[in-house]
Amino acid sequence: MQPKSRKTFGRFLTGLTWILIVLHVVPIAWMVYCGLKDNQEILSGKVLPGRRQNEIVFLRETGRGYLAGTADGGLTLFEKKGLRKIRHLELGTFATSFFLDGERDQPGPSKGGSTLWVLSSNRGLQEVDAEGLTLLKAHGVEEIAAAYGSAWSTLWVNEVAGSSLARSGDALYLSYRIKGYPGVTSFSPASGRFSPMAGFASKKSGEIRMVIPARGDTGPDPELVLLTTQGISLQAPRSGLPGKAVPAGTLPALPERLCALDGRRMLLSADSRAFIFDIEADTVLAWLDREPGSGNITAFARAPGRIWLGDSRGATSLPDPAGMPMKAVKPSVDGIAGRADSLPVNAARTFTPGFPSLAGAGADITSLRITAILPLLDGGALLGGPKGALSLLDAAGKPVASALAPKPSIYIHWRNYVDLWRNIDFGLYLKNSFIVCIGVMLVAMVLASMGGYALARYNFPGKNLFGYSVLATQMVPGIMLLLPLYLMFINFSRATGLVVKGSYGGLILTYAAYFVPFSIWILRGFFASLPKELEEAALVDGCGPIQAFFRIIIPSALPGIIATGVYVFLSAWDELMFAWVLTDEKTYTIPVGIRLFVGNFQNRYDLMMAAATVSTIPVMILFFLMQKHIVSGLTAGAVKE
Amino acid sequence: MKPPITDSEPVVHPDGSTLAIQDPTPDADTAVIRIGKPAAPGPLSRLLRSVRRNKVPYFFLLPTIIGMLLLQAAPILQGLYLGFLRSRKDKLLDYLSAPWAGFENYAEILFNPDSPIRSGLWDAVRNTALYTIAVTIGTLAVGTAAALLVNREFRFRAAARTLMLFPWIVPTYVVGLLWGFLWQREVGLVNIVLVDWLHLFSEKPTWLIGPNTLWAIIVPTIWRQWPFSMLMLLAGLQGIPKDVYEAAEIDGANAWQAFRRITWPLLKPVWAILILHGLIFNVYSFNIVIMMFGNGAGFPGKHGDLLMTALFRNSFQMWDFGTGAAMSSLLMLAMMTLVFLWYRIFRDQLTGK
Repeated sequence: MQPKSRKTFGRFLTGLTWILIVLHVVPIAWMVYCGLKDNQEILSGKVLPGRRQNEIVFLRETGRGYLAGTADGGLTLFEKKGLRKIRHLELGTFATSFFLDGERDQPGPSKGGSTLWVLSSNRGLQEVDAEGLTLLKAHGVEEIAAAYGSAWSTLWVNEVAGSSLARSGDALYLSYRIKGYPGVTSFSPASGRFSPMAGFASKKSGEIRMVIPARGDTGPDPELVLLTTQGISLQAPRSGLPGKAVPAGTLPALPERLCALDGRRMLLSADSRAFIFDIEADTVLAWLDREPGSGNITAFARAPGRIWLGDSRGATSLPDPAGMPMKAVKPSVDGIAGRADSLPVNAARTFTPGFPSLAGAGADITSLRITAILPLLDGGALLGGPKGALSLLDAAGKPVASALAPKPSIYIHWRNYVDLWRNIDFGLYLKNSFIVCIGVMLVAMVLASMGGYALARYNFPGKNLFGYSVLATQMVPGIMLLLPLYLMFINFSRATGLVVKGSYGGLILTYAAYFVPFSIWILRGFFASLPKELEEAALVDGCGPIQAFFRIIIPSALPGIIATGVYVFLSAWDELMFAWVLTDEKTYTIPVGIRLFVGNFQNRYDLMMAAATVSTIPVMILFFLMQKHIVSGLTAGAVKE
Repeated sequence: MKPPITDSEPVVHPDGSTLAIQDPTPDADTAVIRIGKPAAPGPLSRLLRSVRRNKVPYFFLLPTIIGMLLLQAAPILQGLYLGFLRSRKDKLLDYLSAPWAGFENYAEILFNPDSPIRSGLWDAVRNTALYTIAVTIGTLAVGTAAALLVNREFRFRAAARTLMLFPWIVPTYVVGLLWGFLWQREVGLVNIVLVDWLHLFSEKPTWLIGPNTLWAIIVPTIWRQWPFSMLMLLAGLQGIPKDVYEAAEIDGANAWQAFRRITWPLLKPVWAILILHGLIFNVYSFNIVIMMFGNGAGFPGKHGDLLMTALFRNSFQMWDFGTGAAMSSLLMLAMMTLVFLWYRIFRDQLTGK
């Protein structure tokens, strides 16, 4: 071959090598990467790190301008004219909800305090100065969790889909939208304490979708309205007295969204339908007449005399039917829409937002989905949509100005690891795995160096028998001895009172019996390669054979012994079947813990990959620290054979 | 003139043998050591004698032997015995006093076509056989190619070798969990790459249900195991001195001939070891498959069920120990046969050098 073509061929081979490497490292990189990603992003099949869901969910008018809040905790203050950005604060939160002190149902700037409360699934409750947009105080999720104790334990295995925050009297009431959430929590800004709200039957009431104050009730203990998957219930939070409850079966559809019009009337929406329900009389007062195919209702707002609805086509403003004569109809599930009065269509006005074009920003907003509505004094409205888009419309529905909230930072976070630790007892599994693996490693190092030395240096009857039985144990399916072993352990405990199953010792000894024979085999080759003169010199110096072994042989064979120990550690770390059967809640090792709890994660791939990464990191570190020893030890044992 | 050797008194050993030095011919430079045999020692005393003579190795092996007897031999023998008993779920702890069943359990597995256990187990046998063969071949192929590739001089060679070892360090249960995610139809990376990026299929294939399942368990296992083969083969390759190749080149051998005549024969024993390793490791593969389906809570299905997962389910979920133990015994027998065959095939490679 010509030197030149040989060089090209060499380059080709090197390229091939690196392609192979990249292909084989990709799954691991993907595992680590997905452990830092958001599950929604994984589920939507996005590969590159995206940005968070920054749809506008909160719009308020303050003395200085319009305050917009996004679902990922971005807060922006815009000038009233022209929507120029004044200030921005990124809280980096998830499933965020906001409450501005002094909120009213009237258009116009909020009066009263300028404290903005922000509730999120990762940062708990935060207090923000609404004027200067600075973070004043934070109460972490752990503080909320402390109010519940163990009821909290599996909370974030299910994804938090949203949160809800309301103020009634001098307390804040908060809830997370999540399966199995233990109820509404109250927070007292004066004492800074969280406490579970009395009376709200927690898990029976289903997933909490919203908690809002009931309107029109100005007593000393104003009622709260709770919308759950089980229906609607009212309750006086301070006294804990339950009020009216409407089970889901009484409603014509399971509502997604709720807006209290006054003490009795609730505006509810389910999918694309909206209706007004009288909770005192359990009747549907009216269905909001909507064009077919209008899309799911995504926002509600109220202004004096008018109701605002947002959907995927824009916003609609309707006159509030309060005081209009309406037939009350008892709901039945079938054909209800035709029987209740519909609101007059001609009174509705449609507002189409003029969202800024995002083509230049690398994203396209094809929908005109409205996610937040702020009715204004002049009859116009400020509409918020996905990707932080804002549109200001005048009373005639003409877009006046538009803006975009600043883009959130790229979406990579440690939240999954925090959730993992909070939800499943990962710290305990990690500890158990370390105790068991280090125990096995030490036992194996001692026994295998003794055994390996005996095989390497002595000829004795039964040597071959021992060698064959070591090989034979490798051929026995583990499942065959697992069952009798399990029953032996239990019988032994019954006979002696010593607990073996579920103890560290039982598992360590079982593993040792499994790994020591093979380690002896590896170390035998290692000892055989040591020069015989070593212990001959020691024997001449007057050492006994055992003394010589510990004084001379062990130190010179230490690299091999350590390599074997590490190999045993790695193997024990990887063992699932025996640990599954022989451990209990207190001694679950990582694989058993993962096996038992990740099964409940359903499709929380982010948490799973975080768990996978955590279980890989210790062995990775150990391997790279000891790489040379392990490689030389393993290859020497196998190749020289 | 040499000094005369004085005849010694015979030394009597505790086992009855005697030893004496005599000088029968005073002129010659010789002495005779006479060993007196004891009068026919019994087997017990022979054992005692050998124990006494080999105190050190026996002492060193004693803890291991006790552990192996208690925690390996005892349960294995019980397992063999259980295969002949009619197990009773209600009296689990008195498992050894279950009624004798003879070869009932074996007959159930081997000859009863209506037995539900049998059909599940034969699926598992078929899958395990295909899986083991495919994984062993795949592992050797990729491992050999990789070993040859990194046995050359190129920049960052050490880093390349380390990176190649990466998948081998990932624990097998993580491999199962990770690939269970990678194979997902909608959100898995495999389909994203194959369908969304490369457009190799018109629609996204389902990997974890149906006949594709077998591939879904084979590929991750190869992925996990080939670095080990690479490591072993690389060590074998590096044992070949460079000048052998240089001499071959001078003699006019081309690259293929050099590989065929020099590399190949020297790699054969390593291959033999790796085949044995793959055989045992893959027939008894459990973690990867058990973790891949339903995040570890699911059932692999008839196209992905392996012997170990089937046996585990039989024993610990249906608590059917009799047939489980019988099947394990059969499996052990089959494994020993395979290892014996392996030894017959590769004996020359292993001992020839």
